[in-house]
Amino acid sequence: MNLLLILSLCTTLAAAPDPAQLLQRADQARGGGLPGLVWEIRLHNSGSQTNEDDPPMRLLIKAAGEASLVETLEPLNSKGARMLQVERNMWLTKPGLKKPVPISPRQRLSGQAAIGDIAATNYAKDYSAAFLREEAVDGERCYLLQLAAKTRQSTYDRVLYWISAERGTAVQAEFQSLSGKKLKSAQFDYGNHLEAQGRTVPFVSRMVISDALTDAKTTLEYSRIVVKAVPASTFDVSHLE
Amino acid sequence: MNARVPLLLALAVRAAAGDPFQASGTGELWGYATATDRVVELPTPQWTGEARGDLRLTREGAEVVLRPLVFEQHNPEPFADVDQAYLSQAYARIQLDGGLTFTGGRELLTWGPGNLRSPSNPLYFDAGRAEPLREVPGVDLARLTWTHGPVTAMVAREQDAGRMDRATTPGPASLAKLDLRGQDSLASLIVANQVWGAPFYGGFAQATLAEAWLAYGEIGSGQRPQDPSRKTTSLLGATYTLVNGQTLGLEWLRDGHGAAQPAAVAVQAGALTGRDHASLLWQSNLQDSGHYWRVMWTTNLQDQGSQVLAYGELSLSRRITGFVSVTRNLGGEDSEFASVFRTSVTLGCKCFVF
Repeated sequence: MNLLLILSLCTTLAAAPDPAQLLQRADQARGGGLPGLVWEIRLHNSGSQTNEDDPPMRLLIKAAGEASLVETLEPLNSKGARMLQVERNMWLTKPGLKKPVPISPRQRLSGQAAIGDIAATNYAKDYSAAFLREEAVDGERCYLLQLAAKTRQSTYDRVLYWISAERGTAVQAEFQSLSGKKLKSAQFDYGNHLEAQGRTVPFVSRMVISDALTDAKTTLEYSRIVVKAVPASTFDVSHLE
Repeated sequence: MNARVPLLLALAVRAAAGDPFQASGTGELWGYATATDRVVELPTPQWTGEARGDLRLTREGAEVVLRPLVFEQHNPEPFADVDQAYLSQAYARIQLDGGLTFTGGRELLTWGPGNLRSPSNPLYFDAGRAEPLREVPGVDLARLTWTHGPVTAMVAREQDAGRMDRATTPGPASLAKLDLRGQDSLASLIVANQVWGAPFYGGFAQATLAEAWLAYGEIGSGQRPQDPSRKTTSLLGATYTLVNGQTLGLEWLRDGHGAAQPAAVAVQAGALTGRDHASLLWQSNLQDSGHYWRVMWTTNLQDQGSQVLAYGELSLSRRITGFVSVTRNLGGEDSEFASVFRTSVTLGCKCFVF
């Protein structure tokens, strides 16, 4: 009987995936762990409180490590606006402003999108992960991880994260407050591919963020992804003009 | 533009020669009318048209930025019309080896978190951030910046005040600036030589205290042309971001060079001549693309006079944005704000050409 219990325990332990490794692999498909990345996002808000006449936004993002620079390419009346984030420091500038304005992390990008949603994801570094259980999402076997922020720097205090067992990419996320209250959720598609470290890896092509309390949705579509080193001076606020 | 600066610009462009440049930029046409309930002699109404460009040529490791401006203003008799066309900024920037970046040309060299004024900056004490429609031109300079992790060091030589008011902007001057960035903070020290005849020492710091709170301060010690004795000017501020992205801000400014009795000195529209000021700012989410508004209340703590500035922009179509700016000065006739004008209203629109 004891032998059976031990065997059962060993089997369970052997089957339980390493959450840190799962996160590292999932991060790469969302820009994490790469030397530098440049890509574009088309952002569109929808829902009953959204003005359907509002044009979609097109953003150019440059990211490396803890830093990211987001430049608005469209619509015309926001063109040239730039948001710089270096760790927890954030600045915004736009045509007509005489110098960059420091802003708090609470400043949202548009609709449901926080800067942390569109920048490269480094959950493996920013969160401690615990494996909860296996769960199917749209019929696909996934590992469900519970993530807890390691520092105040993280965009969210807690995240429930579903990672495909077969593909190794995140397919769904639920973002929560410190008390566990659901703030919003997100679904991911991976129609893009890029060359990184000598192999072809999937990269996120679409992210749909849904508000927990309303029908508001923000859709992010990723394109023109290039892996390349971005110089440190790109993320220097004295060059943010 | 000073003769050495175009040379620096040309050298930087030549050094950046190689791969083809990619062109991008924005172009805007502005038209607006301003009416003022004047106290001193100010032209009213004013009819103004502007064309503002922001043109960029970029390639790997290099960038050329041109910001031309055409300004036409019709003023009633006896005031003369104003016709100007100039390069507000024109500089080239190249990335060198070892984290070095060189910038040469005419550049707006502003820094610091202060909104009302920027005491840590000897070139742009008044960067015009409190005036949404004001255009602030660059100064002619060459600067070298070194970035390594959380440290950024900069040395700069300002050759000429460019189109800045020479009565308020010194030149030439040499500057050194050292930035140290933390995870959620930034601190900077500034030293400048020969600003109105004496060294200038300044610094600023900002910190993100929580998800929604920012606290900051700026300080500067030096001389001014109208006050040759060394004085210290400081600013303290904090902002709070609401859940909807709107921002509330509070600032306190003590200008050591300011007059204890502002009405005793010559007043100038837009200038703060008093010693102690406080301001409250409430503005919309800067990231909203359909509209922008701000309400700013500034008070002179000596004479109890104050100013309320309300500014709003609303997108009327994909290319047209309308804007309105209303300024109301409150206080006695000899107070700093109300001694210039009581009410000013500006109404206009911007056309985004490209």
